[in-house]
Formats: sequence, C-alpha cells, structure tokens
Amino acid sequence: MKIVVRPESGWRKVTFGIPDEVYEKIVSLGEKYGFREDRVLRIILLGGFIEDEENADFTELEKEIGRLERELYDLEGKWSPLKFRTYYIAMDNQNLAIQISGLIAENKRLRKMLGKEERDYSEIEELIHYYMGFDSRE
Amino acid sequence: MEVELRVSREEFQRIRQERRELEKRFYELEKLENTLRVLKLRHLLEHRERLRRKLEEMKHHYGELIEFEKKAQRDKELLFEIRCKLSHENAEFRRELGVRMNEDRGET
Repeated sequence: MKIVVRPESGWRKVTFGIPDEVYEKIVSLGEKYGFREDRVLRIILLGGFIEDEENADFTELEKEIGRLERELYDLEGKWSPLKFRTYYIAMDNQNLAIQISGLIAENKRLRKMLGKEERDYSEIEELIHYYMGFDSRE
Repeated sequence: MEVELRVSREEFQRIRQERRELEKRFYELEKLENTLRVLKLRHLLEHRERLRRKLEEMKHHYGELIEFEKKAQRDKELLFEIRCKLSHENAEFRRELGVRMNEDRGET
C-alpha cells in the first residue's frame, strides 16, 4: 500500500510504502475505536503516540452516555410544550394588566370626583409592571 | 493501491524531515492501538462531562420554568379577581356620580 502525503498546495509529495496486511490492521484498529482512515494516518504521522495507560470500561461509559442522552432528550421533549403554555399564560396576564391599568386610572378619577379616599394600588401596579415588561425571550 | 493524505505546508515540512522515523511508526501497532484507545476514552469522558453539564443546566431551567408557570397561573387568577372588583367598583362609582349630577341639576 502506498501512502502519499501532499501539502494543501503544491506538487511535492512524500510516499510511504507499507505492506497491505499492515495497512489493513491499521484500518481495522481505526474502525474498532471509531476513527476514520485519514484520522488514523494523521495520528501516526503527526499526532505522536500516547504512552499513558488509561483504563476504563468503554461499555459502561457508553451505557451512561446513552442514558444521559435519553434523559436530555426526554427533558427537551417536555420543555417545549411547557414553554409554550407558560408563554400564553404570561400573555394573558399582560392583556389583563393592560385592562386593569385602564380600570385603575378610571377608579382614581372617579374617586377624586366623588371626594372619596385615595386607594393604594402599589401592589397591583407592581404586578402590572411585571407583566407589561414581560418579554417572551426571558 | 494508494491512499492520499493532504496536510498543511508546515505539517508537510515536518513529515519530510522526519520521514525515516515516521516510516517505522506504521509498524508500531500496539502503540497505535493504545493511542486510539486512550483518545477514544478521553473523547467519551469529555462527551459525558458535556452531557452532564447540559443536563444539569436544563434541569435547572426546567425547574425555574415550572415555578414561573405556577406563579403566572396564580397571578392570572389574582388579576381576574382584581379586574372584576375594579370593574364593579367603577360601575358603582359611575352610578353614584350620575345620581349626584342629577341631584345637582335638581337643586339648580
């Protein structure tokens, strides 16, 4: 098997000749660990070998990753309808806040005209401001 | 058979200079396997960490959204009640104002 290495531009090249069975072993090692052929060649030629011995159970690790991915997928599935529902409740509240704001203005005017005591609307107004400033992106 | 690999100019220079040393590495299959195994392991560990962090973050936001939904629902009921009360009170005040205006007209 000939492995021809070329720069991104230019006509020069470096050729390595290795027995086919060695190349097949290299490719099958790549497949075993999930690396593409070109990636394995880059590791051999440019990466340098790792001498460390790091041990772990791949199967257990992959199982855990699968479990985490499923959990994430389930949560994402619940997230969208909840966000949609919450958005519409907040929008209803914004409409109610607009209506109440008008009613408060009218209430203040009528109280004044009738010489009635002023009422404290601060708590309601706080709620009104909260929903008037509601942004769907929040 | 032939396989072609494209590399950057700097990488190409390095490969050209170290060609003899690199040739031997194609036969160091045990070292290659260990390297691939360690790289895969590192990749899986990093992926697991990313997933754990993302899941943690999503659980947190989901919890916040659940709380917000409860608050918004409670607020909605409260706002309905306030609107209803104010509406009635304003109607009552308008009626009262009408009566007073009629009385004033009667006096003059």
